[in-house]
Amino acid sequence: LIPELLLVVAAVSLILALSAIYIAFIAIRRCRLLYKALTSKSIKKYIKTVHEKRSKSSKKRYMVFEIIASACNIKKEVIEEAIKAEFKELFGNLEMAKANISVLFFDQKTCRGVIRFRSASRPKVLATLGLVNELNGVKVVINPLRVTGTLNKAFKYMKK
Amino acid sequence: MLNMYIDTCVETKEINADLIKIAKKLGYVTLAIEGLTKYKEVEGIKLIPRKTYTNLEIPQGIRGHIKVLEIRNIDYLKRKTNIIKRANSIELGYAVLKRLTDKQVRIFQVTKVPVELRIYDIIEVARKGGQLNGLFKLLRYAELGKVEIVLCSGAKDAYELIPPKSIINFMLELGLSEVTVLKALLNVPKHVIRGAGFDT
Repeated sequence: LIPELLLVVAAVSLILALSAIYIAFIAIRRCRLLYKALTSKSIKKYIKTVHEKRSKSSKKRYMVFEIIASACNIKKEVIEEAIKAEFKELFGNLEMAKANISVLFFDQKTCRGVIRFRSASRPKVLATLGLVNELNGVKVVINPLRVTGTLNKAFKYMKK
Repeated sequence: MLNMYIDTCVETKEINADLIKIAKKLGYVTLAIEGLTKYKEVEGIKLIPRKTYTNLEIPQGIRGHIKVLEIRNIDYLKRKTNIIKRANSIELGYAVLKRLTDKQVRIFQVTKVPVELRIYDIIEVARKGGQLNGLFKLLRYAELGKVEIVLCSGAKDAYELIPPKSIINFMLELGLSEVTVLKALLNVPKHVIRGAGFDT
């Protein structure tokens, strides 16, 4: 009876061991598949498209800028016109329409103001601001200070 | 704003309070000024003399200013690489920015002298409707780390100084990576100034 029992125990343990090996093999295979899927081109493409979509999203941004000049008696319309003209010259009409630039506020006492634009054209707007050298015949330098997501934050930074 | 930027090509004729005020507000600590005779430090801003040499004539053993070699005709480069090595940096003319072959860019790679790019020059070429094939070739080599570039404004007046943020974004628009742009604005100008014998 004892040898028969031992045989049964051995058979059961063998089956268990084989099944464990099989399960481990499947698990390793699944892990490999998962790893491949994560590093595959399709996932990379998907991540890229998500990033592109985010970058193309039409969120508004507000930039606080400072005008360095001998006198700051400049109207905000003049600043807006000068920035738009420079932007148009550098990047063209279509990009300007996309950027939707407008000067919301300009404080003549502190020489600081706020510009609103689309987030996708942020580098273009920043590049343009530095190249505006003249406003109404007065030599100026426009120094971009900070980009914010809300107008309130922009006003807070402007008053600092 | 951190004051750490360097502008290596300012061509203003007079150093006045406006220049210092604007440079301070924009975050510059060092300005290399063309035609300045002596090193000066005004209100924490270092003003370094700089001299541009044309026609490949750089005398040996001269110190006390940044030596810039202006290259108008790219054909000179082939023969006189030993003279190029005497310069602290190379300035490229309009004609060179428009057209530059791989072979010619490799000369900069061999001599290991940084190439100076002026933002106003690039804009002027673009405004005149000229193509910037040479520039883009150079930028590709800079992106690969084979050629070092120095970014500067080329301002002829205190009010022509460009904020560093604008320079960074302008170069990003031209296709350079942020790392390369920051290197060209911070690290390489430091090396150029140290090479001329000044401390940054």
